[in-house]
Amino acid sequence: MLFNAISPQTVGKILGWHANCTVALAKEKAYVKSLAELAEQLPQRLETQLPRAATIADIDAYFDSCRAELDLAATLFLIANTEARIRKDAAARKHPHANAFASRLQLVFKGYSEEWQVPLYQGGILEEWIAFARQIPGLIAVDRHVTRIGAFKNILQLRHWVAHGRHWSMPSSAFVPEAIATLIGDLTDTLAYLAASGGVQPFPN
Amino acid sequence: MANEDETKNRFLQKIKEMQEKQGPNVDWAARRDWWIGKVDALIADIQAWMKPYVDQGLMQIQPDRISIAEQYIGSYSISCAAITVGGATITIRPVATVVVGGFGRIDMESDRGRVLLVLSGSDGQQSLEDKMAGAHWYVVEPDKKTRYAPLTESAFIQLVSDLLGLSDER
Repeated sequence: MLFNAISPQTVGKILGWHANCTVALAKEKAYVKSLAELAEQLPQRLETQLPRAATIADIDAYFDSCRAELDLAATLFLIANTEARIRKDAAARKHPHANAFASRLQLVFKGYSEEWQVPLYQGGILEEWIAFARQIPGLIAVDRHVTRIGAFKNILQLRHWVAHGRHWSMPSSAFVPEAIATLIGDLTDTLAYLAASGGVQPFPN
Repeated sequence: MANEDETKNRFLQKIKEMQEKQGPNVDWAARRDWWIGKVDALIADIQAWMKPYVDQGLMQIQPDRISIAEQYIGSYSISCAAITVGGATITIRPVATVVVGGFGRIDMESDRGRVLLVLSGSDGQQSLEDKMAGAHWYVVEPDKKTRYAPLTESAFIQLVSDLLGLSDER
């Protein structure tokens, strides 16, 4: 499937898919509006989606909601792909003796029977990256790198929101795929830079 | 000179494409006026149907006007009404003329529920003008996939009865 690869290129594929779906949704909205202009009935597949005798405002509201769901889906795919990349890298990087960072990651993984159970924060993988950054000699703008790593924690909240049935409010501005992709790009650029600056195994970016 | 002709031809092609993208060529001003007239006529019919009850002092009908803003058409003023029986009120409020499956929609609403009155053309008519010429009012239940039922005087009386909760009483 389109997004199966745990690689940097998948971000572009997700954004491309999102852009294509957005165009398709806009065309469908225009088509449904043209039906209203001509007083035509809806196709059967839309009969349960729109109110009866739907107005232009009803059509706009429905397709705006569809667009928001599409944005959320793309955002979740981006988050999942990024998390997989971080986990895959950490699993390959951990080693009891290679270097101090690798051995700390080895300890983080200890006690978990499944690699996916290893936390990213709260004593997890990304917090080890933060600790690693703080001890790289001569690293400039340490706080900026730490902020970029910490920012990913905020967007992980979207996953929790969906998983828990969306039962608290979340603004749709929280899941603009292009903005999320930029934040993810900042994160992975930072991890690649830290790996290079700290003289450890490169982070694939 | 050749370049100028080319520029003009390209421009002509582009504005033709832009025009086609606008979709069907509907005279929206005429459509608005026709819709306003249809609603006026329906309100007049409703007043005529309910006149026996109004004359006996059992019911009041208050005609009024509201402003509607619609895409393609802009803002316009249109008739509406309220039927009052005892302490209960049924509002009869036009919603829009550009609707899916019809040429306009009126919402009839009370504390007990809502029913749609949809102005729709008959199936089988091909052109928009023919559909408009043959358009009639239909009763549509908003939450059920029932067929459109023609609006008649007796159907309207049943609607009023339902919206007043009189149909529930045995």
